[in-house]
Amino acid sequence: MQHRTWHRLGLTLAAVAVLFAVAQAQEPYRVGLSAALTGRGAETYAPVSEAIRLYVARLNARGGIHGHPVELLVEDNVAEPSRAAAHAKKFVSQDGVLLMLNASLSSTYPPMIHEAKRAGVPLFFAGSVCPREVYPPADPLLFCSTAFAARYDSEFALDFIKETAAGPVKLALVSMSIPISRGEVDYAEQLAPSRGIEPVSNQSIPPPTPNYAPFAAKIKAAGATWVYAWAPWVTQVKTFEALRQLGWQGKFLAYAHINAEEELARLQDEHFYVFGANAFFSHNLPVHQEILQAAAQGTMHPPTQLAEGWVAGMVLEAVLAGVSWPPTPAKVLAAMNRVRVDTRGLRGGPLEWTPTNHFRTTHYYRVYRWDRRQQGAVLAKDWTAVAIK
Amino acid sequence: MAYASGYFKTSYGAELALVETRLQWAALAALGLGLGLFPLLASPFALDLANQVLLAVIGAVALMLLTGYAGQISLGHAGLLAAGAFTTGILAEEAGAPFWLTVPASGAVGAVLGLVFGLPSLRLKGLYLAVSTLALHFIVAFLGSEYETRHGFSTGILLDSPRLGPVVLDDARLWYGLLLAVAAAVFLFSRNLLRTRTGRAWIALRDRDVVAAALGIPVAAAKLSAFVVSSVLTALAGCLFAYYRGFVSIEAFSLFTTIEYVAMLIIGGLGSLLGAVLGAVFVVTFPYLIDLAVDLLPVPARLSTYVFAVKYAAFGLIMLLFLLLEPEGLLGIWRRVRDYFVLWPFRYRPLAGRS
Repeated sequence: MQHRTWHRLGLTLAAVAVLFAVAQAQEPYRVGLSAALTGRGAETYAPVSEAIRLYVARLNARGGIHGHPVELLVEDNVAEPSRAAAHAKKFVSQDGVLLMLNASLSSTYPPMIHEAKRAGVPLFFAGSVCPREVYPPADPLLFCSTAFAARYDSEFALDFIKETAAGPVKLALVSMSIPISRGEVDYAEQLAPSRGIEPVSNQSIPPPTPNYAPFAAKIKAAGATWVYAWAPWVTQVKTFEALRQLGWQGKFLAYAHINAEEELARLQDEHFYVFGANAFFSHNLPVHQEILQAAAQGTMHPPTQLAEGWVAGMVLEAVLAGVSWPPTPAKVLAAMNRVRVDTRGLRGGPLEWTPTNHFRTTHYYRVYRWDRRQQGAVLAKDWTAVAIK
Repeated sequence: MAYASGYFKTSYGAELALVETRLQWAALAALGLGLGLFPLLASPFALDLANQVLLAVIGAVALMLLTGYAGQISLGHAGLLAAGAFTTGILAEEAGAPFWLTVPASGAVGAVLGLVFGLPSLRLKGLYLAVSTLALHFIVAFLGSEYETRHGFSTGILLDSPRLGPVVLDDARLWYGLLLAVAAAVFLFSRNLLRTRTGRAWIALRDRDVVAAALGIPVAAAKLSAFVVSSVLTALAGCLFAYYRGFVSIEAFSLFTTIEYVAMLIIGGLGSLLGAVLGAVFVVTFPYLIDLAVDLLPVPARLSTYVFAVKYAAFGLIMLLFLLLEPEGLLGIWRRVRDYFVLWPFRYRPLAGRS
């Protein structure tokens, strides 16, 4: 009788241990993503969120991280600060996330930064413009993998314009009238004379603009031979199209947002250049094939728009791989401070964060334009490395 | 228990009383108890949502005074909220000003803006007045954007949690208490203001300004006072928003914010403070309720992107249906529900029944 009791007790304990182990293995690495899936900016940020979701699904299908799945909580902030704030509060206070991700307009940054600092949870800008706080010396809690790089972008863009232009350059600058875009373009305006470029017009265009012709007319009237735009895609491309409708014959350099590859094909204008940090799908790299396969599982976005989010997924995987179980935000933060990700050709080189540099130690740019003879996007300038100090 | 008929008032005290019957007192006590217990029982997310509602209530009541009672259409509401928030942000950032200084300063800036942008109301009405108040939004947006750009706050000004004596307001429950107290104070202030000479003058203005002038009401002063009072309260809401959210950014005060506040008045029921409260609750919580409803549905992950797009459209569609099917707003629904119970077994209120 006594023997049977011990036997039962042993079996019960073993069953409890197995259940506990199973439950532990099913405990996820939980991260929260607040993204502009609808509303203003959704055309840029929804594909980023989708790519991260696809990447995480693929990661979990491979067994997750250290045997634990990654749970991605996605919320739509509609690019509204109040909703982003509510999500951030929910993520840290209710869901207990290890890390927050932002893929939205800059209007949603302050409330998420505030909440991240209050709770000591790292905030990763994955597909949204990198705030300057991630540059050296970086804010301890803020990180960014996005291709955009305020200041560095304009420095590279002006150098490119100078070396591409045959003669003197009269430059017009275009921004959207939101602080982050205006600040960058104002910086480029100040910088231009040091590159021997004459700024002749600076147009800051309000977000709900139905007609870009008045701004384009001012640029044309100022005699601009080049235009440099650093703004959301709609502002860049609508200004360019308005200029062409007015008969302007100059060259236009815009930031290569995620839809740049299809847009070059739509515009088919050899003097419309785009610069950025992500390789176009026309290079058909193995990683591009992976993205296409993942997209084939079902997404409403063109696969060519998924590279930015895929890079963020790669970074997320690399970070969590460096976090032992049980995870904490502090462990995640420590892992983020020493992460190095092989981007496998999606970028010009690896993406590396250090304790003082949460942007990347080296940033790589490429410039593309449309080529009529090849009927496709071609390189106007191959990878150019810029050291971030 | 009988509902107060409103016909028989036997003393001035009864005439002035805001709460008339024991049933109303009981309902008020139950509401107070519910509001008091809420922060103890609610999740952090629900508490944050409640705080958002309370902030919206302050702004909606302020706009209701101007538009719903004084009849002055304003599309500058987001501009006034931004003015209050930026006054707070700039004073805190540049001068390290404490809470007790930024709050009255925000109110003062609101008063000045209300006075200046109320002046066109002396000559303009209707759509023309609406467009003139829109100028306020764009001017404040321009100034705020300039400040952020010139001072390098490209992602907004971050604010530390305010300190009230020894208490640091860094907890959602503390904020709930403060915002509930302020919202209740604003509601009571507005309710009483509407029973004064000033409030009655506003209502007369709204109904017919020519008749109001003929009755001896100083129309210009009444219009300006409506703008000033509403603007002060709105700027205070902006100040509290800045502190609660811990940041100030012009991108948080888009024209869509103004539209949301106008929607609160229309959905809640124009010309009623209770309508402003109900509208604020509805407009703030409705998107989250849609989120919740959709989350409860078993949607495959691969369709999740479509679901977000559908949710966005559903919000607009339901708002439209609401406006078409219930033009009296939530207040109309509230009145019908209340009357059903109060009048049972009868269906209609007697002649000249109070609402």
